[in-house]
Amino acid sequence: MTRNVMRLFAITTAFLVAAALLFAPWTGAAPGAAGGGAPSGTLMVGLAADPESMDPYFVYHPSGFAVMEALFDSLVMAGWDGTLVPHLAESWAVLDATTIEFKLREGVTFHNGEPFDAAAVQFSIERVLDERLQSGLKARFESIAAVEIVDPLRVRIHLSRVDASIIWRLTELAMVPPNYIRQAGDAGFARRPVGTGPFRFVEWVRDDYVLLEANPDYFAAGVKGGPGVERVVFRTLPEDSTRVAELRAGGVDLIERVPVDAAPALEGSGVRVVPADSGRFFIGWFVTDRGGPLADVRVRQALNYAMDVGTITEFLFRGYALPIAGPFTARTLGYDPGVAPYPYDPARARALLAEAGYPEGFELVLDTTANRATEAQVIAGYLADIGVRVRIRALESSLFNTNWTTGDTGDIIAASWGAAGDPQAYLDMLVRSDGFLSRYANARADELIARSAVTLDPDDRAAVLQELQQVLRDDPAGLYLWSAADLYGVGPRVNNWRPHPTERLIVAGVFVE
Amino acid sequence: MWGFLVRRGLYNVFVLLGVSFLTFALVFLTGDPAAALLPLGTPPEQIDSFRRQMGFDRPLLVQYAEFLWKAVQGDFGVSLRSRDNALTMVLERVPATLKLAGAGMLAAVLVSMPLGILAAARRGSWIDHLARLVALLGQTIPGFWLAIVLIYIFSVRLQWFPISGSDGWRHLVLPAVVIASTPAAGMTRLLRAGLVEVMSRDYVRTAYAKGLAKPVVVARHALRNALIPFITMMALQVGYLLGGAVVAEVVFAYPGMGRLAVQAITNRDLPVIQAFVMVTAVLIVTVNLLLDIVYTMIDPRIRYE
Repeated sequence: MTRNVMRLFAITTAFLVAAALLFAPWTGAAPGAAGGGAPSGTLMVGLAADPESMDPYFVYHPSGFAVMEALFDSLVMAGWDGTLVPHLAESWAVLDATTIEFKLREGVTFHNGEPFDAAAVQFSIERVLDERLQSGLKARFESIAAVEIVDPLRVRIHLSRVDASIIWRLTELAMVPPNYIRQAGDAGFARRPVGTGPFRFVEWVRDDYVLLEANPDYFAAGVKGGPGVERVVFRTLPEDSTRVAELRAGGVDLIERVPVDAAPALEGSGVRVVPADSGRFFIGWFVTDRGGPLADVRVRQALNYAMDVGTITEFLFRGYALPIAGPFTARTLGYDPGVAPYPYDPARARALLAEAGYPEGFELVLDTTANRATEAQVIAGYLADIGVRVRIRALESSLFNTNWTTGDTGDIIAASWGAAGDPQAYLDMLVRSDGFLSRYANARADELIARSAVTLDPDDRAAVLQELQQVLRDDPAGLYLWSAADLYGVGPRVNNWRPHPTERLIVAGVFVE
Repeated sequence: MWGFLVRRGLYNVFVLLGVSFLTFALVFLTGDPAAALLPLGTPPEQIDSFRRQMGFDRPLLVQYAEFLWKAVQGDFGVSLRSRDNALTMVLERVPATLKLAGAGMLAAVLVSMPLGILAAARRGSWIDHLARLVALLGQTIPGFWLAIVLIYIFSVRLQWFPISGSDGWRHLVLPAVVIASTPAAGMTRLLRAGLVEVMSRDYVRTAYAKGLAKPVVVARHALRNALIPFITMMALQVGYLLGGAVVAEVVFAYPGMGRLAVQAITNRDLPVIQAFVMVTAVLIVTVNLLLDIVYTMIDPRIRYE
């Protein structure tokens, strides 16, 4: 009896699926976006690290972001061209300098059926700001004083101070379901996350894989298309060579963080290597507040003239990197391509050093993380040519971070930093003289950074930032090295995937053959 | 026998205490766990508040004493990162790692036993030279390099074995070979040396004089006597296999406790590191205790008072 019912069920399902396939409009473009073909197949993604958590407020690294973008949505997003676009919010309006009103998309529900509305926005923001939760994202939203529900689809954010970049930071805040979290608790939510995203959570085996399934009710608009595959498996493959080998052998379809050295072999095996369209810069920040040679602007310029960044990007990065003129990349808001990187001019560097009173050069200590040791050696090599003797300290990353925060560093702190979108947060931290990671001071730069924070008109703000770029080029805050593209490996089955300008790998809209 | 076991048990408690204190101190010496757990760019005030909430601001000895008191009750706290029970996280991984270490031990025995016996039985022959070569390579080739080469040959080119994961015995083959390579080398050398020495003993000559064939002499008279140091060596390799498993688990993306430990160390996830070290120490101590018992079974001359 049961067996007959099952068979009938199977036949009916098969018939319905066949009918659906037959009559489904086949666009060939983003499936699911605008109700295209039914999602089918499984997309296998190889991540370089296990997500820290399934609670988006405890995920701070790109590998985890890939999973979070599949499960959750934010009010606004960075669009494919790097501009700010609506997402869960249909539109927004700046009512006055400290009030922004969001109009929410109608009919969006969380995976458990709970409606997404103004109450969910209020809950999400209050949750990330909650002292007891101790989310590492809290600091980014501290300018928000209150969240006011106007009606179920309209919400107002009141700021405690003018903060031009808060709207950009909201691209990093996943909207979470209030009723579900109140019931399941924070721990329960982290075990079984519920979002509004294009995929629903199925299973997480720590250090092994995260399995998600298509969310058929996804609103599919804007940056994220609908789910193009039935299932996504994010596998954790921390070892670079293993991740690359899995891609070559077809065990995974898409990987992040392809080592530059592996790119030529991969390209020869039918896999596409795609540079991320994102801005991450690598800068050796100068510690200028201890006196000594680096306090002199001529010395800081000399060091920048001493680096042949063009050759480094060509050989060390096989062209997947570009010289920079300061803490800005082509993907940074207000980027000015007219500000040129320092040319390689060792003679001029030596002349500047002599002028500053260091004809014989001097010694300095360069701190970097252990995974940057090769880059540090290349830098030391060029600086040695102008007589600057560099002692490299390649530190384990948590020690490096701690030292930087406490100020217990060498004379140059070399680190990479994501600079796509709004630069305000890192300018406040790294460049402004009172920034807690900054060891540099320039009164004009301080003024411009402060003005950028409160300039709400995008064009005016871009002008401020462009002037800042020129100021920072002439009075270098660091050794301006390069912006390097993260490389993705894309297998032959993958269709309709492209890198997002932020470092977030987006699997919505991708389908497999 | 029982008196011996109790004495060894007490002794092991001190070993575990020492291990726990050392790891505790080391983790704190190499960085601030509060700063490591929050993203770079978190303001110092927020790091301070987090440090207070997690109790990292108290004196080390107080933190250690509290840790020890709870650990004795099986409570290692929750992972600072995932907020899951640390001991549970480690224990969940134990079967996978034991399976891998077991497969590694099996591979090591399967290689070293026949190779060691044949090398000793035919000294100076090609097989003796082969044994020497295998031992040399096994002890000199670094595990991570061997792993990458094996992946390239057997997974990417020949596609005989999967590259990564943990789904079935085929996933165990390559990592087992990797972690077995060094122990197998040492065990082969030791077994050969032991057999060569035993083969020159009087009782072996007597066995030959009785008219026994060489295979019987080797198997019945020589091997049993050469086996004691071999078994000691096997037990000593358990620590090595668990250590080697860390490398193999990372390269082959095998979800055992070695990988958990690597991640926990990177994240300064103190409770998980502690739970991992203690579980590993208990495993090794237990194996050594079992070994002492096994001795009495294979060699009737060994008795514990």
